[in-house]
Amino acid sequence: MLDNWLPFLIYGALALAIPLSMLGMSFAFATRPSHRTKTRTIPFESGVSQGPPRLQRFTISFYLTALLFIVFDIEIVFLYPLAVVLEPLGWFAFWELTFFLGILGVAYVYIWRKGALEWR
Amino acid sequence: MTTPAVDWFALSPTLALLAAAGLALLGSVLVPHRATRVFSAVVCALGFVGAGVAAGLLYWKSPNATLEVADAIRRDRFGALAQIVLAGVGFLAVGISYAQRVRRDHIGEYYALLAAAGGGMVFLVEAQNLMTLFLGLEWFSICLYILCAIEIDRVGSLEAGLKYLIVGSFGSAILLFGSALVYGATGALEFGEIAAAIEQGSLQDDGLVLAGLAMLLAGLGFKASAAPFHMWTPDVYEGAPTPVTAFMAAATKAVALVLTMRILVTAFPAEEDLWTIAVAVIACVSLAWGNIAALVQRNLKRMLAYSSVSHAGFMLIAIAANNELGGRALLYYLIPYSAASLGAFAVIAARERELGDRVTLDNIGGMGWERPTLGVAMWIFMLAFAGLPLTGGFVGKFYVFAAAYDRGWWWLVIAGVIATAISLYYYLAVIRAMYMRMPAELRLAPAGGSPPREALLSASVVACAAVTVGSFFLVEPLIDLAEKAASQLPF
Amino acid sequence: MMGPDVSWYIVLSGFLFTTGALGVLLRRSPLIVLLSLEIMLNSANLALIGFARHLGEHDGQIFALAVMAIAASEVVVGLGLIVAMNRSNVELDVDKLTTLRG
Repeated sequence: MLDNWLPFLIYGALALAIPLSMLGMSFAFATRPSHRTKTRTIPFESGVSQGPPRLQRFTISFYLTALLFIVFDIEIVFLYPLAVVLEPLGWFAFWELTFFLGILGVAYVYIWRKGALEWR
Repeated sequence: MTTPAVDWFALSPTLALLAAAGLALLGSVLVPHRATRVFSAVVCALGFVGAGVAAGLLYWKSPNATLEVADAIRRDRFGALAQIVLAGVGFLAVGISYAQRVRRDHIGEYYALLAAAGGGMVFLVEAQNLMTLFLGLEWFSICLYILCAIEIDRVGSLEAGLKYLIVGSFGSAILLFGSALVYGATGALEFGEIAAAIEQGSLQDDGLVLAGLAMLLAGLGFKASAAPFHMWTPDVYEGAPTPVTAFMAAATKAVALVLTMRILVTAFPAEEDLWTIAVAVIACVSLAWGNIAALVQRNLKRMLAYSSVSHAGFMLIAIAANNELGGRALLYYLIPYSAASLGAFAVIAARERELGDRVTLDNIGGMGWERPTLGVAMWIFMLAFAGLPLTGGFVGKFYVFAAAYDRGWWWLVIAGVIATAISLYYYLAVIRAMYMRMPAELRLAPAGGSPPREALLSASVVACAAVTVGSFFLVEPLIDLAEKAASQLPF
Repeated sequence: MMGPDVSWYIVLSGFLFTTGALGVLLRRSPLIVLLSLEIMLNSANLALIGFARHLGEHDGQIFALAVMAIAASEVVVGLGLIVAMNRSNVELDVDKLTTLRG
C-alpha cells in the first residue's frame, strides 16, 4: 500500500520544493532597496511584476483564436481511442475517421471563410 | 475484434438534420449574401422534412424494438413517433423564424443551429445508453444556448443565453454525476443492462443507485423545466428571440419528457415504487407553481413560460402512472401541446414585430380585430392549453387523467383538475385582452402603418391551429399510433 | 489492481462536485461560475474513470473523453457570451443581470 503512495510523495515534495526554492532564491540573490517601497508590499506572483497592464486591452481576435483553439484541440481527443483500435477495425475505423474529420472540415471551412482566422 | 455494425437507417433522421446543419453553415459563407436567408432556411426546412420522412419510415419498418450501434440506441416506434413530432415542430419553427429580424451575418448560423439542435433531439429520443443520453442532451442544449443569444446586439438575448447556459449546464452536470454513480454501482451504461444488474445484484437499496437515480431525475427536471427546477424558464423564454422560444417550449420539453419516461421505465423498473412517487410529487409541484405564478404575469412570454411549467406537470403525471396507458397519453399529449405552444409563441412573435416591444396583456389589446386569423388561432391555442373540447388538449388531459386513475392515484387526478380550473383564468384573460379593446383605444400604435404581413408566419400559425384541432377529430388513428409506440416499452 | 481503493476516488470526486456546485450557486462572476461548472463536470469524469478502473472495463473512460469534448464546447460558448456581454458594456455580475424580470 505504501509503495503506491511513493510516487505521490515524490511528486508532492517536488511541488513544494519548486516554489519554496523560488522564494528562497529571491531572498538570497535579490538586490532590494533597504527601505519599504510600494513594490515590495504586493504579493509575490511567480516573479512577474503586476505592473501597469491593467488598462491594456486585448483585441477580440485574441479571444476568438483562443476559443477556436480550445474547441479544435479538444475534438482531437476522439482520435486517441480510435488510434488504439485502428488496426483491428481496419477500413471501418478509417471511414469513421473520415466522417468525423469531414464534420470538423465543415466547421473549419466555415471559420476560414467567415474570416475568424484573420488577425485583425 | 469484430467490426461494429452501424444501422444507418436507425440514424437517418439524425443524419438528415446533421447534413442540413452542415450545408446551412457552409451556405452562410459560400452562398452570395442576398441568397443566404433563402438558402439556409430552405436547407433547414428540407432537413426537418427529411428527418420526418425518415422517422416515418422508421416507425413503419420497426415492428419490433431492437438495440443498434453497439447498444447505444434503441430503434423502436416510441422514439420514431417522438421524432416525427420533433421534425414537425422544427419545420414549423423555420416558417415562424423566416421573417424574424436576425443580423444578416448571423442568418446562416441561425438555421444551421436550428437544424443541429433538431438533430441532437431526434438522436436523444432514441438514446438507450447513459453516454448517448448525455451526448444528445448537450448536443441540442449547446445549440440552444447560442440560439437564445443570437440577437447579439440586444442585452436581453445575451442574458437569456448566459442564464440558460449556466442553469442548463448545472443540470447537465448533476445528470452526469448521477450517471457516473449508476455506472459505478451497476457497471453498465446501457439501460437494459442497468435494470438487469440492479435485479441480479439486488441493488434496489444501494446508496449509489438511489443517489444516481435522484440526480438523473433532477437533471432531466432542469431540461423539462419542471418545478422546482424551472427557475430559468421565465427569464430565458422572455429573453430569447421569440421563434427560438417557440421551438424550445415545444421541442425541448417533448424530448426531455420522452427521455425521462424511457430511462425510468427501461433502466429502473426495480425502483418503481420510489420514482413513481417522486415524479408524482414533482408533477404536483409543477402544476401548483406553474399555474399560480402564471396568474400574476402581465408579460405574455413569461405567462406562457409558467404555463409550460404546468404542462410539464401534466405530462409528468403520465410518466408517474408507469403504465402503457401513460405512455400512450404522453405521446398523444405532445402533439396538441407542441402545436399549441409553437402557435401561441408565433402569434406573440407577430405582435412583437409590429410593436418592436415586449408583448404584454395591455398592448396585445385589439389584435384579435386587427389580425382576425391570428386572433382565431390564439383562441384555439388557449383553449387547447386549458384542455377544452374541440381541441386535442382535451383528449390529452383526458388520457393523462385516465392513466393516473388506472394506477389508482385519484389524488393526482384531483390535482390536475384543480390546476386546469385555475389555468382557465389566465388563458381566458389572454383571449379577453385580445378582443376587449378597440384598436382606436390602443396607445401603442404599430410603427409605420399597417402591420407587416408575413405569409409564412401566418401559414405556420394556421398549420399549428389545424394540428391542434385536427388531433381532436383524428383521435383514433393518433391514439392507435401512440399505442403501438408505447407497447414497445417494457412497462 | 494498483493504487488506492475506488472509494477514495469517489470521495474526492464528491468533494469536487460539491465545491463546483457551491461555486455555481454562490459566486457572482460569470467566469468563476463557468469555472465551477467545469469542476462539476470534471468531478464526474473522475468518478467515471475511477469506476471504470475499479470495474476493469473501458466504457467509463470513453465516456470521460466525450465529456471532456462537451465541456470544452460548453465553456467556449460561455466564454463567447461573456466576451459579447463585455463588448456591450454589461456589468459582469450574475446577480445584476436583471433585464429580464417579471
